[in-house]
Amino acid sequence: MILTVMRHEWRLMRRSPVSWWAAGLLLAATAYALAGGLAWQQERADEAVAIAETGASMLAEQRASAAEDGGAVSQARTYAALPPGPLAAFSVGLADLLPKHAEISIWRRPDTLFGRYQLESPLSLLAGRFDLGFVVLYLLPLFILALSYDLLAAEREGGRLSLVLTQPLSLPGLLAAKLLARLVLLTAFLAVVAAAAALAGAVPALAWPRLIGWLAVAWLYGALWLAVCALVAAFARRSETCAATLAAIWLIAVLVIPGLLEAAVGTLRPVPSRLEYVTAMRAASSEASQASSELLAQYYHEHPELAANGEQGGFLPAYYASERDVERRLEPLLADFEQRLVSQQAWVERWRFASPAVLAQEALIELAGSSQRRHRQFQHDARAFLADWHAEMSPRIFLGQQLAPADYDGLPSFGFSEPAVSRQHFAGTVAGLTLPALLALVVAYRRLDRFEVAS
Amino acid sequence: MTTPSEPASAQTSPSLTSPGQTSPAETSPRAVAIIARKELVESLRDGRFRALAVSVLALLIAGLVAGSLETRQARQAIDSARAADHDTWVGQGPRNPHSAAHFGHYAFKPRPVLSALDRGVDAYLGRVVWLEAHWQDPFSLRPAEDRTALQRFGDLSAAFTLQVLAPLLVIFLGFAAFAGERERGTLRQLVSLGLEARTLALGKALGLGAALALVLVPAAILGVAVAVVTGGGAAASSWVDAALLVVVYSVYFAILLGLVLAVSASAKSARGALVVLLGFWMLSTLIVPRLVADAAEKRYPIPTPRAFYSAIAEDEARGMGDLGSRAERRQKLEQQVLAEHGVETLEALPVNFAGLSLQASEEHSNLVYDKHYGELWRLYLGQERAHLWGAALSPMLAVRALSMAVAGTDVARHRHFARAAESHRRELVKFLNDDMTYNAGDAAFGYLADEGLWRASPTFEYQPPGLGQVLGRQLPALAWLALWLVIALAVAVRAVGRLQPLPGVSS
Amino acid sequence: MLEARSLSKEFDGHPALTGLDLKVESGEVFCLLGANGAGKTTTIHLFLGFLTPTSGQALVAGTEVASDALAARRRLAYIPEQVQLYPSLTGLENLGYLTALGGRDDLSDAELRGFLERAGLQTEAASRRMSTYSKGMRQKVAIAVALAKGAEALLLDEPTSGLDPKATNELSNLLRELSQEGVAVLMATHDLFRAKEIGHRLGIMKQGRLLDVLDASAVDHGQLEQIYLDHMHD
Repeated sequence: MILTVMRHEWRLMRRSPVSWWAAGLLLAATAYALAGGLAWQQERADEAVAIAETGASMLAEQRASAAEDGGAVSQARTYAALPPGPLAAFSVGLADLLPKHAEISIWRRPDTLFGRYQLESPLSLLAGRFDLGFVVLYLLPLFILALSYDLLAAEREGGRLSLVLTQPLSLPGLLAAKLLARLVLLTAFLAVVAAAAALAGAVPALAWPRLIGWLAVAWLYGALWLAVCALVAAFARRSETCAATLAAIWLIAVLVIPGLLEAAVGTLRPVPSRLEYVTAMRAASSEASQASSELLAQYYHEHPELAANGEQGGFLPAYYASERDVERRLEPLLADFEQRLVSQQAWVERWRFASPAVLAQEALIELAGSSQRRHRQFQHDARAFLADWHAEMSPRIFLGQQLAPADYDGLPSFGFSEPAVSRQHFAGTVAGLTLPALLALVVAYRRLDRFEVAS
Repeated sequence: MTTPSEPASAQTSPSLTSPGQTSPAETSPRAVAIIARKELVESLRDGRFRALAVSVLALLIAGLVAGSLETRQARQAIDSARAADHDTWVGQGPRNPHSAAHFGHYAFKPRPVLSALDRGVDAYLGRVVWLEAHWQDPFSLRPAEDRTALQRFGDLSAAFTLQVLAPLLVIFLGFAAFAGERERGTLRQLVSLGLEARTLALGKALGLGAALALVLVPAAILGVAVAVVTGGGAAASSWVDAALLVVVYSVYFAILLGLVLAVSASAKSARGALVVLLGFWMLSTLIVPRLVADAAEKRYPIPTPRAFYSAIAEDEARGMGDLGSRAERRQKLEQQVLAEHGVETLEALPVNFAGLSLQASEEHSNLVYDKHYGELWRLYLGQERAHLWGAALSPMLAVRALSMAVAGTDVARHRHFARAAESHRRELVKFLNDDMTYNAGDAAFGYLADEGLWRASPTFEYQPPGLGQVLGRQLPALAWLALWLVIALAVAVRAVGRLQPLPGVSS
Repeated sequence: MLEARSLSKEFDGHPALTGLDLKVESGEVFCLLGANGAGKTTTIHLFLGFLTPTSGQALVAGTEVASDALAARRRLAYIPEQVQLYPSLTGLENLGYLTALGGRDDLSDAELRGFLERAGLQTEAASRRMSTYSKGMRQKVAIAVALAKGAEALLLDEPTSGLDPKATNELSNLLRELSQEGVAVLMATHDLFRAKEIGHRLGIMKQGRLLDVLDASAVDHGQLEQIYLDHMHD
């Protein structure tokens, strides 16, 4: 029986130009997004490799020229590069905005190692990316609404519903069959996406669990929209009412609530003014440079072992000592920013349940590896790398030593520790999408008792 | 806020009224007024319209108030940061002028008053630039970097609400204007009364425009007020700019109203009209802007930071054109200076050679930056133009460009500031190098200047471009907007002229 | 076959049907006459279980509709005033879908065509899309559904309104045939002439009440019209 209805629904869709248009547009958008995503992933991967190679070759050159008289510590420079996320082709997230490489040398401080990266076109950033995440978050629900906005109302208005229900078929049974027919299409669509992405090489070997998670979130998000269609179908009498209600719900969930949350998080969890930070940094630099000779003396006082060769002074040690003083003074400010950004993100993660679109977006970019969290991990790792670099170099600066060729082999190297997807976060997303869907279905089911079959 | 006077002038012109017709079919202002009133009353009684109108108005007010507060705060923060930066510069103590040039100072991009209404691309461009010796830095501290991924959904600024959400209000207001009446059979009756379709259309346009105005006029008044309050003392020009924005958005809504009425008049059913209009909305606000951004990115690809800065480093090392490598350039300079002063050694020069050499290298770098940053700006501005191609499908893109430009939050304004800041940097560095050249004597890098020099150094006062200059750059956007207005009116007039009063028949 | 016991229905406190007692036996054609809003359609919807009674019972073959609407509907077929089916499907496909829903997914196309023919639809029309059908043709598809289902009772709501005389005549003949085969027919109509022609008993309804039940063979057309108008004027 249910199969009969499902087959019938598919046949109706095949006969309707609207569903062909909708499906055509969705598939075209998906193909376009996937192609764009693949190109972006490739570019990012190439760039990360190129940056890492540049860093390595710079060190190799210095090593080669260091063969005779030793290499200058001040010249030793390398890069730390962030590889693209495991599913970078799926969601660009914040990856186009945040720094993806760091310059490592004794001239850099934790607040200046990311610099000269802000070239991305502001207009592109404003427009947003046409990636698979966009297709899933915005277009997939619209596609679902286009095929399901009048699950019952149109049949009722047409007077067909009464005829259909004179057959031994319950109204909830009919609705369930209609929903199932669409759920099968949703599943097929995501299967096609997965297959296309896999064939196109968008999924690295170890990213399969992430891909499954990504598809699961997209599926649950689509299923939730279907459940919302069922809910509206059970309440609204006319198909125009259904369409208007669903359009309003889409608008509120996808544009208004995220916008309000964005405004709220800026107000409730403000990040301190970066301009004040600049002011503090300038003041610290100025004071430190004016006091650099005392700072240097103090440094040698604290590290008598470095004063061994008796040559105390010179531009580099003085400058270096003043820079470390600036670093020390800015540390609490930098930590404050860090902590505020973390608490901002935590706030969003608590409130993401307010809209399925936010819930899905957070999960999709987390799984794709383009979230703020991953970029913060990179910043953290790059700063740790810089700290190692300084630890390696600072004794040489104060002792006035050069780097012998062999020393280059012992220099610290950069490794990015890919953060695992939090199980708790994922479970929260699944629950946050599933429970409202079930609730909507239960309410719709109960409401169907009072549904007027004939107009 | 709408401009229903457009159709009015077209419709009441005598040439459109058939001569010799004495029946009530003549387009009488009275009939138009009656219809307009009925449309207004009907809209106001429609609970859905009321809910939507109140929501849009609430979002607009919230956006304006939040934008105003944020902008005031940002302007104050910039003022105090500027003052502090100046204090630090002046109070840096005795220092070699070149060391001071390395210390440099910061230029803070001012926040235009009307950024309270439209943030434009402001969040994606840096707020400050470090003006230091040797280096033209990119702007840093982009506000977007301190925001969560939620920003990708849009920001509910007044501009976002007007450009993206308010069109839905127009659509819901007007999609059934003709199609709905036709389905109910009332259109048949109205036409059978001897009413001309044109009269009906004009009446509807006026009535719906009035309903829309109930939402948009308060928002417009508040918008202008916000401009004044946010601007504080600098309100005089903001008034004009804000009024101009009101005009731009009014034209936008007139365009939308024309398109909505045209679709409603020619669609088979109200549902069909709604589907077509929602499709247009989705295309013009969600899809086309993204597609155009991709196309612009492909046509004018922005180099990666690595490519960009390594190209600069290469030109620095090799030398621009046939100027030769760094060592060669230095040697040439040395010979030239020695010849000029007719001396044999650098020590015999009456000026400090280090200062001259620094300035020469600075001027060489400026050539390099002019080449590379010039190219980068060519790409950004090319992208800006490319985004306007999308205006062929999406009037929103033309409105967005104009709105950002008038609000002073577009790419062109950023470039204007960036250029001013860069020429200030060059002026400042030259001032410091000159001091070294003429005052350092033999001490060279051992020479220390004091507070007097810091106080005498050039200060940076930024003068934003005038409205005329801004609009001059936006002629293509203005042309697109005018074209859309003409198209919208033309299709509305045409569709109404072919209005089919019977249901189930498409015109 | 069909039975109403003190059947009442209120909409938001307004009575639409009050204390209806009625029995329609197998093979009998019962016509409900009355003005718009008299409660005829409400009665039919109550038998179908589209509405739940405020009080009283509607029974189909002894089964109370409110407690087991599905069981009741298995025995019923319904021809609404405006038969609307899926416009993008052909008549045959529409019939196939509805009969499959009724549990008869074993019927071949030839058998389905047979039902359409019996319902009076021209053979060539069966494979045209419903969007090209006239009102009478759409009604015939609904009747074919009833035939294919082997319904024991047929509920018709204003079946003759808007039909041309030939189509009306065909419908009358078909209903007569069905009643001879033992199908119970409950038909709501404004058409006194047709009611007298087809019906065995005629019920006159006004403001939700069944005022009078007449034996169709005991009155002629003139008398029927007089009685009806008298009731309406009271």
